[in-house]
Amino acid sequence: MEKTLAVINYLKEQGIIRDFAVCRGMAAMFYMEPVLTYDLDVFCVFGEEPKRLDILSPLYKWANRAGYKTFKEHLMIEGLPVQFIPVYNDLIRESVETAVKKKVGLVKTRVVAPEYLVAIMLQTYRKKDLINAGKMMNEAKLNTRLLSGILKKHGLQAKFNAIRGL
Amino acid sequence: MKNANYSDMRRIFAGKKEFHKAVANLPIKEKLRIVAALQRIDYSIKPEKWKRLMMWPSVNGQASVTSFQRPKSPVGEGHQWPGQ
Repeated sequence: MEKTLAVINYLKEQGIIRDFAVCRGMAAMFYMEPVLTYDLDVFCVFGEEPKRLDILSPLYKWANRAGYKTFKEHLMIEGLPVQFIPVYNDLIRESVETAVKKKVGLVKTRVVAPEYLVAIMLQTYRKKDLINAGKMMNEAKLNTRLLSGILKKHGLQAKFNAIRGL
Repeated sequence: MKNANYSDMRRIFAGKKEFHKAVANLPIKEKLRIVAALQRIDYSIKPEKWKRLMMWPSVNGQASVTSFQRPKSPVGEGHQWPGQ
């Protein structure tokens, strides 16, 4: 995990990605009880606005040069399957911009803040996301004012009220 | 008697909640070990699903794979990784 994060930091230093934040299962692990996950998901912002459909091609080209294998949507970086997800809406972009600095061992990284993780879980609204959002609200230390601001801004208040009643 | 059972039940659930909170506050390396254990349990239940993309973080939290060869380092063989 540490080596993988160090390589992702290296990608940022090299300018292949402009910014990133660890998201989904691995990010939730920083704030709540760990959940089963097999990969490391990373939201990433690229230097230029994408003009073509193959946004991830610089990453795949780099992986080929560096000798890292690819498997479906994953790059196998230092033994860990990593999925790079380009930012696809305003909520995700905001979550990357406001990501929290964390450390795994000696390696620094950026992780999506817990309030944004809850909002993203509500936006995706899959069954496992709803379960994790509930757990997150019980176990993580959330800034309720920030969370309600995010929910209001992105129109997620109704979904939040629905799961709070469960 | 009913009240006693009810308070016992409340105590059990309160203890369960405390346990989950305590796990949530564990250091990240401990949590990685828990994830590794969860993966092994999941793999034992449905091996065919995960056969192709296996990842086994070892005890020290360093991941390894069974189905892929370790690639060469992009920053050179002599690179000093943090913690080394």
